[in-house]
Amino acid sequence: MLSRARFDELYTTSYRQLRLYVSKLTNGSDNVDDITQEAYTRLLVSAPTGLSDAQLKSYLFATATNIVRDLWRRGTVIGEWLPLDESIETKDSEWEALPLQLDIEKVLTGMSIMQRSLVWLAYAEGYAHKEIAEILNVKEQSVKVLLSRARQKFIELYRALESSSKEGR
Amino acid sequence: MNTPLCSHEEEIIQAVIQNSLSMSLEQHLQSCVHCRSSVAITKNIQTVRATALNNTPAIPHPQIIWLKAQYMQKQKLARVDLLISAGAIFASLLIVFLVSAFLLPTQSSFSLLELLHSFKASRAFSAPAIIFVSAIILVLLLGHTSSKNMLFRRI
Repeated sequence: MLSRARFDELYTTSYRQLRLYVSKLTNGSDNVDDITQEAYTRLLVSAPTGLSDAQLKSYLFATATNIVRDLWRRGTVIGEWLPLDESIETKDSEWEALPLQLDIEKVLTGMSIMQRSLVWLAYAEGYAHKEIAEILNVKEQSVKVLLSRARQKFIELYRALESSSKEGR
Repeated sequence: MNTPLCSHEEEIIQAVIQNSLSMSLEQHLQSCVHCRSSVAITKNIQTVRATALNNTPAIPHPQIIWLKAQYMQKQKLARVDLLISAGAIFASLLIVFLVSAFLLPTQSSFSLLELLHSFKASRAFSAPAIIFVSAIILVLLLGHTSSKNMLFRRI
């Protein structure tokens, strides 16, 4: 088990980030705080010894993802987990949207839970593909494919929102 | 399967997040559509993240989680202890049974009722046998108690 001082430091530095990640995954459900705190409890009870600070943080994100997955299976968290979205063409598209023009929250809401997780871990938390693979318990090559599709979906949803807001003006 | 991911993407995202884009990465961005899109996505999401982090409600005190984890850890160890106890009792009974069966006169056919009946009739519970079986049970219980103490000392 972690020492109290190390746990306090990890908790203070990572709680907000982890809570925000859980909030994005669950679309801001009422269980956000419970899930976040459960992740820390499981870390204390079950985490292997000798992990570095970065590994402990990854462990927290992985645990939180697993808790959300369990709740989704029980129907507590609403949404699709992983549509394959094979129809999405993973082409290189130019997308240099201006920040803050649109509500990114709405774009994220249109994605599946797994896609939100991939996009958030890669572009918000800055995790490398290898780390994302460990957190989501998938192969690194799968992360590349899934992230590419999630990215494309993000761009398409953003464009759709952009065009609808233009029509609304 | 077509996955048009640029090999520089991870490096560029890291650099954008840390606000440390090098000259070589800037040059790469000029020619890479994929990475330019990734930078745009990253900047958008980073803005959302920064705003959301500032608006996070107060963090609960870590003491609550620490105490909950301590309680769960004790429960976990109690379950292990229960399993060890059950194992020790089962092993004790098995040994008593085997030793008794060994000390009893040989039966032509095995029957639990006959065996129990012969327990009463025979002189299987002679003093050396009782001492031997008691010693084994004592050793098992002592071993169990020391393992229990060792487990709880880890908390």
